[in-house]
Amino acid sequence: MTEPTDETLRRWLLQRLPPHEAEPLEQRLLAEAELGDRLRGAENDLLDDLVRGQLDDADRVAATRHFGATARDRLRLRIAAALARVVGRPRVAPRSAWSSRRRRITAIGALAAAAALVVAVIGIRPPPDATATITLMASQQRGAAVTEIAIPRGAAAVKLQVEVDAADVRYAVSIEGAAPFAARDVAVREAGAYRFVEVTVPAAALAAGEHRVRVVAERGDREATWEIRTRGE
Amino acid sequence: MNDARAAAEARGHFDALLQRLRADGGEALGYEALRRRLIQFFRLHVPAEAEDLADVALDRLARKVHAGTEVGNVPSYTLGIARMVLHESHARSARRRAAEDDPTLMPDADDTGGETDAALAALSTCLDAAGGESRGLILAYYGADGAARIAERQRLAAERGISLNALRNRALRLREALEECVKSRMGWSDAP
Repeated sequence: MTEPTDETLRRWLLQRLPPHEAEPLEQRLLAEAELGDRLRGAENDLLDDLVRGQLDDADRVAATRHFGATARDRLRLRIAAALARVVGRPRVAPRSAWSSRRRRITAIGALAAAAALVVAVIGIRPPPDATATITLMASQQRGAAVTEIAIPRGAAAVKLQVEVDAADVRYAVSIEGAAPFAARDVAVREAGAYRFVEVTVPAAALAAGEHRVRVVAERGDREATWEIRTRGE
Repeated sequence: MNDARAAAEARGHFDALLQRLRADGGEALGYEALRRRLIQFFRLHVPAEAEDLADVALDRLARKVHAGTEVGNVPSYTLGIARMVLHESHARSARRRAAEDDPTLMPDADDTGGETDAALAALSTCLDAAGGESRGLILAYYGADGAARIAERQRLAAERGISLNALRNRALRLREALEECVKSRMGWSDAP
């Protein structure tokens, strides 16, 4: 029987293999230890390529969906990002708590100045990063603006910070689109006078196109919506 | 059915499955190996539910065996069950999708700006603890990418006088140990 190539295994992992190719492999996967080992190896290589920004848009979306699905794989994603730095493939820029805070404050200042613009480009942190951060301000809510956001092509996940007005409740955050995202019971954080909720979103949920971000207080009737347009950069 | 009776019945099913797996003799597929392969199968389709669905499939297999169903080829029979379980899972998901949030994508509330650096420090410590040879192998094996990846692995295998398969399996074991070490040092739990 012909051995599948590494490329075939990768297509299998990304759910791109047609049934007539996938089914015999599934049969073998249950029967042969060797194929399982090869598949695990292909999965590690895919994971490494994802965090090093080596995948094209379509593969990145599919791989992010694959590795974003379980807590275990999300941890593997973080470890792979650290490994990429150790081996000298630093697609993830070193980041300290201080620089994170400074970036947030910088983003807030820039956003306040840009609030009157119809289209705002916000929260971009080059170089391409496995955990890029974007920020949505209250002033950019639906009806006021369509917010355009560039997502770094290498990003596997995006930290989404959304401004909220009340600190004493928890929020549900959802993103509508081709790959919906939802999170509940999100606590409020504060940076100076700025209150926000933060969630880590698989980049697939913010793939290029139109999305609606909705933040709803889990107590009371507070609700806010943002219309955003994302693009790869 | 009370809990004790249900547990005894489940135990009976499980024992019947173990007995059937042993009956193949020689290269018999052990329970853990079968479970691992089922998880891999389900990860290809629904990663978020892979472990749960593998257990569902194994449970059904065990019931069949216990009931006296003739299971000729265990992997083939198991794959049939797995495909049925997968089909049911897809149907459930389709019904749920419109009404429910995705429970697998939850906020990463504990992530902080400093965590990347902490993970890097933990990784470095774990690499050091692995020893010089293992550290060197991990960094070389997983360090290359693109076109250089295959050439580098061939070089590593030749240097050690082992096959590419043996090299890959060694690298897999080392990486899994490394991941466990980092998770332990970071206090990360992968429980859902």
